[in-house]
Amino acid sequence: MRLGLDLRNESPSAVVDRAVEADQLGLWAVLVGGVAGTENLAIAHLATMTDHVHLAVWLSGNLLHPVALAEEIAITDHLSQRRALAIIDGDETLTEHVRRLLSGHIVDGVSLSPPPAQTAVPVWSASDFSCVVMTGELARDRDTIDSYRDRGHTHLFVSWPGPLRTLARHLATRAATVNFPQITADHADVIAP
Amino acid sequence: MKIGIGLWCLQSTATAPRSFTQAYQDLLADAQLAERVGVHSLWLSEHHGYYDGYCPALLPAAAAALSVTKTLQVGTGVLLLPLQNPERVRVATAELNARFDNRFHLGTGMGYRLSEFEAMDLAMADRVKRMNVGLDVLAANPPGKLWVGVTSPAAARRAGRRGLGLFISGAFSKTVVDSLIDAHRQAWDDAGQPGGTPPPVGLLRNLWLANAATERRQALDWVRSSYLVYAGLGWGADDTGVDFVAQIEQSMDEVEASAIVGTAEQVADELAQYDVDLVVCRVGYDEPPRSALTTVVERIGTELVPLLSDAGRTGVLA
Repeated sequence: MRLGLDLRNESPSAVVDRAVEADQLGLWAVLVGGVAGTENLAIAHLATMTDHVHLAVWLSGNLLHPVALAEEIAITDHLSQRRALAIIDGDETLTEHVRRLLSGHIVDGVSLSPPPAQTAVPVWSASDFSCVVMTGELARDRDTIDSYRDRGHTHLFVSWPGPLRTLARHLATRAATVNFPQITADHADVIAP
Repeated sequence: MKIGIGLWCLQSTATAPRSFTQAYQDLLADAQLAERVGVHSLWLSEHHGYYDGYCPALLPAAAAALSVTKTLQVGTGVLLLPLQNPERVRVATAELNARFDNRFHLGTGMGYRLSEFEAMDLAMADRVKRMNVGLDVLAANPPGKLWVGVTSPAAARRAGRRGLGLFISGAFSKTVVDSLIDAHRQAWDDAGQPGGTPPPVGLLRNLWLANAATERRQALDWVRSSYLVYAGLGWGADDTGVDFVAQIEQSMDEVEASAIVGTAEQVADELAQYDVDLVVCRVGYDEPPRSALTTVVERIGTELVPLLSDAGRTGVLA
């Protein structure tokens, strides 16, 4: 299971700082939201500030036509060099319309130009993924991660109150494998606090 | 007058195919170069569903260019307002200005390609009405610096009576440019001078800096070939009443005749005749090699900008 960082409730400056740190620590993705209709601006901003982390955007799907929404996502995919991921909080018909456009299909006589950089940008419905609030207490949070991983979730976004290094060291690693050797994280806290 | 550069369209054309991803990375490098050499602003341009990927989403592209710079202004020349929800455009413009120190200029235009309206499930017959409604939404609560792209006196008046900046497109003669400026100013006066300060006037010009005769001929050929993009856009529109195939050479001749190509001094002498706040030097053609583009941007900043700092109108865009 891959762990992403939910930044939707952070201030704009904190979003940039945390996303840059998440990028450096190798987290899989950050999730950004914002005022409806401005979400892709935050993603474009982060695209220039980061190199590796996937940039997931939570979109309110009712302000833009699906073609316009797909066009914006395609542009953020080029700006981020293939790191865009969209989660649409809207009706499934709209989400499917955007998904098909961003997968290269012609929909109602329209094809996307430019196409996205990825072969197909992942477009998820809001109900397709899980998001949980971590407590910052590792013992409890480890159990939470284990439960999602062991139920077969492939991706999980978490909000995290503490240092991102702790999240990366103890929880992203644990999420990634069923047999995480906890001793390595615990000992890393001693030798590289 | 301030000197900007345009139009960045982020295309991969039949004349000069390239990676779209590379085009967007080049945009960031070009914005940084423009800032470094003292250019005032970089302007983007929009179309939808065109074969060459002509940028359909200017706001995220602008956000990225603003993100990698500290003082450069970035504008849309133009964003097609009737295709969008104007309240959303207003909110997004405010967000860009809040995030990036009020360095974003929103230039709007009406659009003319039926296919672009159909793709958005809109009737092109409603475009004037939608443009007026959109401009009213923006002017009622301005989210930043606002411009209206114009090709006719009616459009100039549309901008002037709302106190919005005038952004005059490409290849007009000085006589036409002056008439558009007059119409804009008259409409602003007739409306009671909204805003209290005369709204700015910007002028897009096809130009290139070149010293030797061979360089000038090369630059003019680049300007001519760039018209192919617009011939294709019009050809795809099907409802303009213009035979783009038959008229392509004539149109290229007109574009070439309106282009300003020469040394920095020669170009400056010609631009200084215009009573405008901003000239956007149109150098974003598709055919020149990248090294030629970056060289001309550098020359615009280091040679042309100093020659024109006291020309035209000054102050509104300071």
